[in-house]
Amino acid sequence: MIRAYTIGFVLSILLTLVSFLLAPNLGFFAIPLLVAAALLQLFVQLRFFLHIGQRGVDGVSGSYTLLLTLAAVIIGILVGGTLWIMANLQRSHMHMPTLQDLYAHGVMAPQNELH
Amino acid sequence: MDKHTDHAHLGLWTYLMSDCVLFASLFAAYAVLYTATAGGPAPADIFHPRFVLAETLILLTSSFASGLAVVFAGRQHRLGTWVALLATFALGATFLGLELHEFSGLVAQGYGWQRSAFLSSFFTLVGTHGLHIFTGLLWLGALFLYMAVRGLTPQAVRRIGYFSLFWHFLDIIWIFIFTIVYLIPLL
Amino acid sequence: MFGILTLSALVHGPIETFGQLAVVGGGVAAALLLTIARRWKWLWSEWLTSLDAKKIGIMYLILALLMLLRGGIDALMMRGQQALASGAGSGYLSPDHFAQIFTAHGTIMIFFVAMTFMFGLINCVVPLQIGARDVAFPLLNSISFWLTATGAFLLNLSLVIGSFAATGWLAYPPLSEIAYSPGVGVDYWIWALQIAGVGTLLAAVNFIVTILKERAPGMTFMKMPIFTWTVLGSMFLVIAAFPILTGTLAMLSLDRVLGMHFFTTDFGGNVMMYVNLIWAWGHPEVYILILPAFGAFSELVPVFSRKRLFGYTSMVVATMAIVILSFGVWVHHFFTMGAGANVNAFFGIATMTIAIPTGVKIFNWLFTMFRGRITYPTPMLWFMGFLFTFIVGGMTGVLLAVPPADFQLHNSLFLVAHFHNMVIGGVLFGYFAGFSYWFPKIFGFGLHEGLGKLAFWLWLIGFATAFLPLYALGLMGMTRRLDFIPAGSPYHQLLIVAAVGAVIIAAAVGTQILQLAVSVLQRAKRRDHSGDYWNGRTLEWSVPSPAPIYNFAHIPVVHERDAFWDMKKRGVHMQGPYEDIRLPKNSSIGLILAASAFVFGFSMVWHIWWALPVALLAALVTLIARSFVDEREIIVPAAVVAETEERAAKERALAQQPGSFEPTYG
Repeated sequence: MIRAYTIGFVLSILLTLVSFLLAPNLGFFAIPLLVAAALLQLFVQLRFFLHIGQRGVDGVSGSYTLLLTLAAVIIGILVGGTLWIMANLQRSHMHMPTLQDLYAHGVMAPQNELH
Repeated sequence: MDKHTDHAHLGLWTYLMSDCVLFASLFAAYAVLYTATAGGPAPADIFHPRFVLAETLILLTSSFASGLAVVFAGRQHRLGTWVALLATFALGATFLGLELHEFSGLVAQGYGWQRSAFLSSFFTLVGTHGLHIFTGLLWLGALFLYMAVRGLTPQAVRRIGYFSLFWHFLDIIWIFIFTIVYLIPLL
Repeated sequence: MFGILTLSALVHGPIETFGQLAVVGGGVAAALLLTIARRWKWLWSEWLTSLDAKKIGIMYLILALLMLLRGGIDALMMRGQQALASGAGSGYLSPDHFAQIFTAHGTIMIFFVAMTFMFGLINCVVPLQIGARDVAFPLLNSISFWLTATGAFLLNLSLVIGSFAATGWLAYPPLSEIAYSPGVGVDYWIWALQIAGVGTLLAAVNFIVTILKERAPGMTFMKMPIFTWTVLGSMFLVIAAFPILTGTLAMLSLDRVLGMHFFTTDFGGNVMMYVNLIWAWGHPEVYILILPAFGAFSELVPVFSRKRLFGYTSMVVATMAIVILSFGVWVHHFFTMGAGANVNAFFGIATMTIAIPTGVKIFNWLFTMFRGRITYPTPMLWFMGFLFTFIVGGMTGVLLAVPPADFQLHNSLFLVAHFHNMVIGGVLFGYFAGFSYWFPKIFGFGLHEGLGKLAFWLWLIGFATAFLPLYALGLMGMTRRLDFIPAGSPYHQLLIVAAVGAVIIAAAVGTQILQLAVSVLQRAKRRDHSGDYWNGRTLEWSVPSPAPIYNFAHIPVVHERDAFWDMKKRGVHMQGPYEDIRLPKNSSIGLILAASAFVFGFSMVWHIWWALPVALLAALVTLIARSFVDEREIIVPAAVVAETEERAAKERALAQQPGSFEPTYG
């Protein structure tokens, strides 16, 4: 058991160092490498620290993987969807008008504000 | 009880999955708002990767220590369990201290959560993680109290397992925080 | 000392004062009744500290009924205002009060009627249906209920002290930001929902583990009743969606209290992100509500068609398809917000797609009825009512899913008619069906059929009268949430019709309350002697009514789908020898944690900052103290179990000939 945790610990350190020290210097490949390193470290910790997908008496039941998959899908839809939708909204508006913009263009007037 | 019959363990896992979605909503907000600096500082102006690397390694070691505690507790190794848990606590508290140091530094410079949407989302996302760490330290304190009074009972062993699940989960969330909050925006 | 709370928070206008007195008066009356009848101890030990899912379920149902009355009164007030306020008159409500009423109406109906009604039925039915003694985490169950009740209490407290949000039930910024809602109303709204939301989330954890792990031996997933399947799907959705609500409400609260800029109009805030996030929760929420209603129909339609459910596998697949698809459609709530054509088109098509699994379910129910020997007691009437109204509502939904059409109809009364069509015709009719179907099991006697049928027809006619005109009004261009209709507009007549419809609905609810009262008074006449009131198919009907505290003397072994029908066919009976049964001991932890949640929420609303750590500390100390408690169970001795079972067997024998399948209802 200690072996599993130690492997997980060492791999996580390595992946962390890759993220902090190696990836930022790779220009175009920086973001893909950072994402890959993060996901890899996620799987390492799920496997070696949380015993997901580990067979035998130390492992956990399939319900864990089911719930994890459900959460992962939802998070993907939520974050991906939000980024797509918000970016799309940004494109349709030249910029988010500030209050000053609205005053300057006569859309609102300070003296009419409810306070 | 092994994990197949320990329903509380599965219940905690289910709750943690919901906590993942909570963090996801905060991550989504950060991803949308991190460029909204309103004339204030941008990520590159205020983040220090070396500092975050130190925090990361400290939290990772803390997570590792909590895993060791589970192994020692399962083997009824009382000294090993206490040492591992105390290390978990010390490293976790150090992590939190470093984070508070970072936060107070920013506030002192006038870069608090009121300065811009970027800073609001930064303080909230990282701060929520920090609050979870704080809650974990309280939980660990309660565990120390229980073990001091009752010893390393089967109940205590189970609870160390639950705590460790929570603690590992927080380190996993941190992977995404250092990647998405601190590293990617600096490229 | 008390933050921004002053005595002036108690002073309201005449109409609000009436509401204040009603709330306070109701509470005082209840307390007086309990004192006179000397039932405080009984209330405490039999109900408030009970960890029995059946009791917790009944408490949820009572809360739902109370909140239905409050939300319904809000509706009557709104209809009254719109009927009166046209042309010269301005009605009787100020614009701000009207806004608080429509905000409260929506919030109460979704969070404290529909969700609460749902959890009431789930608690009363699911453990019995899967052959279990209780849920996986009985203490957590109690905590969930009390947190929900605290949220409801906080919301109703805003009637008495302070005011409520005047922003609509989803409180869009910038109106809900501190700059434009500087009072306490929005904070009451936020904290009522945050606290109730935690309760809901914990309940979902509970039922997921219960359904995954506590099923009787032999009950594989594909032998579970469909109601249990739909509850599982709904609970998955709660885990997936409610944290989004928690996060978004937290961000709004941080904006208001700590001056952050998530959704402000300056310093980089993004108002549209709130709308996006809140609907990413909001759409799954309506599927959370409808799935168990569908599940209830899947239980009662086979029983009243005397035919097993058609297409079990496709029902399961359709349920899970709805769970996944419901997460891909949320933009249809804000097509007009300015997203580009490809975003709108994607979500429009996805929205239409979700009608398919729903259609599968409807056809499966129809095929179940085909060539069945159908009877129409009240639960089946509710199903028939649902069938016609929900399909109309669903079709108007597909219409609204077309973005160009939605640009005309967004936020018109057409939209209001559509979602009431779905929530009343779908969710509410479904829960009324489930309630009248499972009532004998829960309480041990049947409901008065005549009054039940009358209530159904009044609801159906009332719903049609109140909401079908709104479709027309929407197409004629009337916007929602208007507190004043200009003179000469063509809306007035139809608004009067809608107001009449609201009154008919009020009569329907009155009839339901009468039905409850009469049924209680006449309970000996309709006593469920056998436990199998309707000649049912699933395990909950195999135990006496009401179920003994331990549910099953022996955990049944399941061989087939429709486990109880199979048991009846094979002539299986419950018999000795019996064993001691261990059950959870009562606990006041739920109440204590809810009380500290209340203090926390109330202090956040009124800025009583010192009370926040006090509330949190109280919760922490409670949990630590609990961790030292080892004796958490009571034992029901085998002799008591035997006596209970033998008494039930005698009663069953009195009721009908052995082997007879004739239903006992009349």
